Amino acid sequence: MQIRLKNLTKKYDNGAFKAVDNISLTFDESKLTVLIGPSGCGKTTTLKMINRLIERTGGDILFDEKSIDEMDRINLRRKIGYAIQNIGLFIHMSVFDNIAVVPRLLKWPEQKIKDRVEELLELVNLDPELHMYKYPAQLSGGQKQRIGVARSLAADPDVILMDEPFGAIDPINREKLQDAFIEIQEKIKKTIIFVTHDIREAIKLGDKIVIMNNGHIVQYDDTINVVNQPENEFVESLLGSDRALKGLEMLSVKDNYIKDFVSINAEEVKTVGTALEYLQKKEKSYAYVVGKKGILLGYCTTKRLQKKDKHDDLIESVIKTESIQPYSNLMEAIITMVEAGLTSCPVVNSKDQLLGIIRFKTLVDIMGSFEKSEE
Amino acid sequence: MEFFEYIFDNGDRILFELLRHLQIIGIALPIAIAIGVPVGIAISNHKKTANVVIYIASVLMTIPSLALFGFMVALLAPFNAGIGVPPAVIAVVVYSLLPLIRNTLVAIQEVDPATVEAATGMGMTKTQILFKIRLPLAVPIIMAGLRNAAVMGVSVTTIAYLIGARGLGYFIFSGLSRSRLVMVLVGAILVGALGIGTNYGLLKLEELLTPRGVKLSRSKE
Repeated sequence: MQIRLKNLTKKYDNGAFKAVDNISLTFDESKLTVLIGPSGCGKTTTLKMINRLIERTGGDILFDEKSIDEMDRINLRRKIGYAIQNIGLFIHMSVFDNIAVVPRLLKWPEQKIKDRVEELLELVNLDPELHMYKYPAQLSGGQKQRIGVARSLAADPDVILMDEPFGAIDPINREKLQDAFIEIQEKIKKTIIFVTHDIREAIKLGDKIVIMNNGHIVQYDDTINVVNQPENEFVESLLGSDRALKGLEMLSVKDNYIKDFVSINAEEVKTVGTALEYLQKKEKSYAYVVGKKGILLGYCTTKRLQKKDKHDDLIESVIKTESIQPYSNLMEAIITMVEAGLTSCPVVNSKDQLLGIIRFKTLVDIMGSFEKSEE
Repeated sequence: MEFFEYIFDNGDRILFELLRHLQIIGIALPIAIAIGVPVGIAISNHKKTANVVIYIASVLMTIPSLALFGFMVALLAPFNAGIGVPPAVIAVVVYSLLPLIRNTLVAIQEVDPATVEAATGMGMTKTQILFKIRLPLAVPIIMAGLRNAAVMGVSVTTIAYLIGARGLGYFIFSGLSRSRLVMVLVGAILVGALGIGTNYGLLKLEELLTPRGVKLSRSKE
């Protein structure tokens, strides 16, 4: 569904204060658009006018060119997914009942609701058997947030509004949730309007970014254009001085890793001797070692293997390694690699299966290209 | 020894007065809930009205029970109900209103605004929010108010003996007038036990009515 804001305005105190001042823009269908700006810029007000938690005082909001006034407020809200910062999970309801709220309001049959809840829990990477009948008090912050996201998707809405949904989570879990969320959006392709005050989050998640200040739109463009061509000093200061690094956050590992790597399957190659022969044949000094179903176990080097007896088990000589997932961004990749001291890092999917490797050199080259665009 | 003798000899009487005592409270509390909880809900949206209502309820509660019975005898006499069970029931209702209204009000108001916003944003109507969100979350606090009211009801009913409502007050007041200390002791122990028992019973009921998720989140805090 496409949403168009037309001269949207929200005045308070008889017009003395304009929280949102005559803004017009179109949110693209199936895209994630981020609203960002300093507090008081009007981003949350704009969001809440879309599901009429706040009533506008001027202009119009059009859903596929149909005015918001032609729709019943309650029905409209049931068709729009909504996730908020403090999650707002209902503590007296189980995970199941929380997710089932809107489907029940829409009077879905119970079996359909049950199937949907299970489907959604799997989508947000929580085992339905294990979590369906738990209560919010029994969940970690990150798990609650996942339920919040699942709940907003429950009735399969075309539009989802998210008000800093990851705001209350610690940085490490936030990055994980963001990664998981990008993966979900890849699958569901909803029209999402996402409010945040964190520019890194905006760049990481947004297909497009709306930068707001004092109730006005300062810049509205594709994320990459906002980063590369900031409209004015305000946007530049919002982006911060490390734009080249921020650019890395827009790009994901999945588009930049290579599948050309050497791996040894420990299911077939059991001894140090055969592994060494294999490496010499391939003229490599190291190789990744995978186990059953291609699950990454670590890596081995010729140097280390040569010190061992060739009848030794290969598994014993495998060195554990950091890995990164395809939906992580390049900034996270660079941090992982610097911290672990790796010049290349294995890329694995959510089941730990080895997909490829990402090289430090690739990252440096990409950073270089951003620097050029800055000059 | 004399104490147990008295209990054995007057088993029927004790049972009768105990049942009467329970009857008065048993009639009064449902009435008090039927008035107090809806009033608490109704005023939760209007701050000014809420202040006035709470103020009136507090004033009512400060009236000493004997004085209240005095009023009642005078006011209900034309209806032939000045003495006996009716004024006792009314008195217990009057004293129960403040804890019930106040606790309902607080419980409804204290629901996390984020929870209500989420519910509204998901398309619940005001009525649905009240019954599916606010009230289930309010159960423990409303029940605390009810316990407060019940325990007070036990003691008010004791004094209601003086206006012919009978009940366990009989043992205390008759004992006092006849200088039979054993009677007073029996009465006092029974009233005390009934107070403690009522509180305990309602505590169990509260546990039964409180949604599991609320209990879990409380025990976590």
